Amino acid sequence: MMDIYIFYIIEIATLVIAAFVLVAGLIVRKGKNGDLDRVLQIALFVGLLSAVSLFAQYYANTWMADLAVRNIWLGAFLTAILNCGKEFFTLLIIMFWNMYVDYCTYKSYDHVRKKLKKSLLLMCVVSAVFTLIYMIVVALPFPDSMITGVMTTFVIVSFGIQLLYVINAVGIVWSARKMRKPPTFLRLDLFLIPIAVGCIMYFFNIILGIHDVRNLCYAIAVLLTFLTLMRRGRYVDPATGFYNRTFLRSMNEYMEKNGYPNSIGVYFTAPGSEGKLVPILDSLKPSDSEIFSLGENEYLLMSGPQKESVIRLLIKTVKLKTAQEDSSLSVSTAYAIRDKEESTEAFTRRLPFTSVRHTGNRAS
Amino acid sequence: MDILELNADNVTDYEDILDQDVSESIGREFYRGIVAVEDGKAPKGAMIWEYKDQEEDADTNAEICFLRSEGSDVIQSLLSHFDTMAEDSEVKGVFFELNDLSDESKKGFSDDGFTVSTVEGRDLTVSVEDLKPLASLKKKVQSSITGLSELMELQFMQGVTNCLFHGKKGLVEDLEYIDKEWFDENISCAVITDGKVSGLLLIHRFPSGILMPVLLTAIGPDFKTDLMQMLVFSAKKAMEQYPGDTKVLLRRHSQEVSALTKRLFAGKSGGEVIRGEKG
Repeated sequence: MMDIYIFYIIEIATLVIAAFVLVAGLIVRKGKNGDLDRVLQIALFVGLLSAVSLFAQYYANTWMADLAVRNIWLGAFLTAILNCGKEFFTLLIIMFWNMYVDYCTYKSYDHVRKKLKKSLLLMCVVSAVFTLIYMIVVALPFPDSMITGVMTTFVIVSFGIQLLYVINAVGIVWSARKMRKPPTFLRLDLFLIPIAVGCIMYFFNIILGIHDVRNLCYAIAVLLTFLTLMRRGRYVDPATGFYNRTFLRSMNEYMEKNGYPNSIGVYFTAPGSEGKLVPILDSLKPSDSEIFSLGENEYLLMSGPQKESVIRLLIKTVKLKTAQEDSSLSVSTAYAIRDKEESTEAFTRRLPFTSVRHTGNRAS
Repeated sequence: MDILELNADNVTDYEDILDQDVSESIGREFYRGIVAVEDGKAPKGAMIWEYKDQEEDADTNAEICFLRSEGSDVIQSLLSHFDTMAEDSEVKGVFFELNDLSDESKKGFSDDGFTVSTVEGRDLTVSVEDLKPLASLKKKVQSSITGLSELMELQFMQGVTNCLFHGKKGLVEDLEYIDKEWFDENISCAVITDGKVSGLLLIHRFPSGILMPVLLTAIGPDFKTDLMQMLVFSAKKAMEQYPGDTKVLLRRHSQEVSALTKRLFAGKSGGEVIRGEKG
């Protein structure tokens, strides 16, 4: 009896944590937010996993046997769905975490969408096959060891797939280290350590019969991931989604560690534009650059070393697009190029543009 | 003998001595040309070169793309004038790979301090027909690949800016100055990822009809797939648009390109050329 209470406490705690992340995430979410969306999806699956576990427990204790007696196939189907569903949601959690890592690293919706399509198909096919086999084994007079065998095989296959996705996620982060990248606020360890603890506990669950706390570990992992992501909020302007002045100030320290680009700065301002420049800059931002929001309708694009002619092309493109979108808008620009001998600190101090040439005043 | 500088206005006056595929570049940002004339008579010689990395932090170099001369005194005058102009532009090194160089010209280069040798050229010439295996690699090209003709001017500018910020300019030193129309819009293409141009395969069609890919690059996590998809797209389009015997010039300017051409056109090799370098 005590065991059941502990089970309910673990699962309800999991549900509460998942619900907290979901609610808090939805409150802080503003507009399209790729990385937060992924975390919220993981939280949803953790919640569903816990709900399925609770329902399966309740179902097993009350009307499962009843139903199985009345309709063997329906009973077998529901049993298979509930048992295999838990593994399916576990697969989804790891898969979506992999997508989160991928999105944080490359910031590409299209890339994640393509990957998601393939992965989802794989998960669905594997889960459907095992659900079907499980249902048949439950419905037909096979020995109990056969049922356990099917489920164990599914758990092993699922674990193998999860491991591949974890290795892939680590590989993504590893290969991205070679590139100049803005901070991702991504902590692999905060997700992987609780998951690893859960797996170890699951092992002890099998051999010693202690409680399976994997679901709670997933919830802790998603909570820690969410809290890490929230740190990003300190450095981001909520109105534009661009980095703010706080990040600009702390950038030198970050650069020393990560080689973040700080060789040119292009300043854009459009007084009275009421944020209309944001989507324009966002759509024209080169992949190897970052944009900072400096204040009302003032933005700074920073990147690695570039030729003046290339900077002028960027400015021309922004002005052309602005004129195309709203001919009444006036865009002023300026740029600074870091001197060969200039330190990153001195260059950042020189920003925003106290001593650089101004180019053009009107969008044309 | 007078040495005149070539520009977009006077280049047509000397088309008899110039190669049309090279002379079309006169007027571009980093191309320079000179012509040797004697008392208003027919030109005796001409030379065209391109400055490399001129606006960048790296040392400026120059590549001589064309040389024709009648007599050793003409080549001497041309090279002497070139040396002065190169010095003014702070050129550190000069390089050429030419395939129709007379013994007189070779000697002229040697006398000017060039190390001259005969080597296999970096250019590989194939025909549109040879692109068939590449075109049939994929039955259908993914929808993110768009022909250059379908790309709006602004999208093209964004794509070029993106590539240049990433340090990719291919064979086009002056990519930021070049109009979309300069490229063959029927067979060039781009990759669109998240609504932005994230890759470009730009092909130029010379006045002689020769096709030359001048930029192949893709940025992002799927760059390998995108590169292959763009190659297949352009190969398919080239086969639709041009006769099978149309020449395609592939310049193996980097190890990556050499490896790719080796894989795609196994067994093909470049012709013999005279290569020279100085500095």
